[in-house]
Amino acid sequence: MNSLVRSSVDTSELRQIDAAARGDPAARHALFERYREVAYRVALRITGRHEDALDVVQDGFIRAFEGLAEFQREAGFQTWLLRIVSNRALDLVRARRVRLAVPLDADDADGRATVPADERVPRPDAALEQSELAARLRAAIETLPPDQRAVFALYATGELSYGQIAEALGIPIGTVMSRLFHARRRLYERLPDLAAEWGVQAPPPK
Amino acid sequence: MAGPPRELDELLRALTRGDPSAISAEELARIEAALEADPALAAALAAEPAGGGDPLVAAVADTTPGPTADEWARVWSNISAGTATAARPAVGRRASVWLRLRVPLAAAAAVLLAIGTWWNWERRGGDAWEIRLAADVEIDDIDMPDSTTPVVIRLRPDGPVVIWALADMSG
Repeated sequence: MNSLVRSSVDTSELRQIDAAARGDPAARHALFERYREVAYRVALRITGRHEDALDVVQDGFIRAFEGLAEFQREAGFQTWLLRIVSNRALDLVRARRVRLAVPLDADDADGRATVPADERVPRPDAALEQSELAARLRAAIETLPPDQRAVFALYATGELSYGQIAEALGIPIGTVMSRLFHARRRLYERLPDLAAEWGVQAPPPK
Repeated sequence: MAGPPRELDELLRALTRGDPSAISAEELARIEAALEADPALAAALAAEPAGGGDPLVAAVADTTPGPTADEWARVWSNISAGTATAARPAVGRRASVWLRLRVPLAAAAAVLLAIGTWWNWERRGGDAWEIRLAADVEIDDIDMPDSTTPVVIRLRPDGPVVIWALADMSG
């Protein structure tokens, strides 16, 4: 399966990767600056916590830099990094074995996801609606089982192909599609108003 | 996507469009089986960008600020400190300097040790003895690889014996 999709890797990045493998701090910093945001978003969506996401990103880059000698260049640094980050974030979530910001039993009585109490920064009015929507979605994402959450976190970057998601998680593409299907189904169960607004038939709550 | 039967193609489109109500569990199982059995179908799907056009992805796009510049700086600082590879050349340089210096350092340490032993012997009131060059010592065999100190010290009741191995300069 992993051989099905190979990212196109530009030569300048390959040079950076080679330099980074030799320990060049500038090359490593350039890779860090290029991929830190996407790594953070994936880590945040899996762990649900800002500080945990930063720790995961930090650990992920350290492991990536230390493992550059084994890195298969044709796979693409981003996919490889996100694989490390996803695995690390999943390890963290599984170790916790608890729901994060919004536990299932803390939702509204009708099972709808609510906004987490620890939203970090107040937003201008113009962005409030989008912010609240994103917050409700994040709360719903945190109720997903870890495997589905990891697939959705990578999917939600909007920067990867289905093959890259499969490669990053080390699972067949059919499993990606299945987990994604169940993740979306569960999200719409918890956000029926959004499903109605978007013309998606929400499955009945289990 | 080329190749798949019309119905399967429709199912895949519904699946990638992001509407879970458009597919039943049985149809999902069928798609999984088809992807497993048909590498060309899997490859075609694998190449497709994921998430585009899904309202869930658009909605979850974060409006919250990410980490601050200070937080990123701290993370980078920790990464730099935590990656040993960057430090390896420096460690190697230190090691090579040590390799070059260790024989003379060991020799100097051996001389200091010999002097210290002699001084201690004197202080304890041992029989007086003097440092002299041994002219009547015969060494049957001494194994002295390059990496070891050229000085050997043997402590004997009548005082320490120091053997300083010199390179054969007899030509």
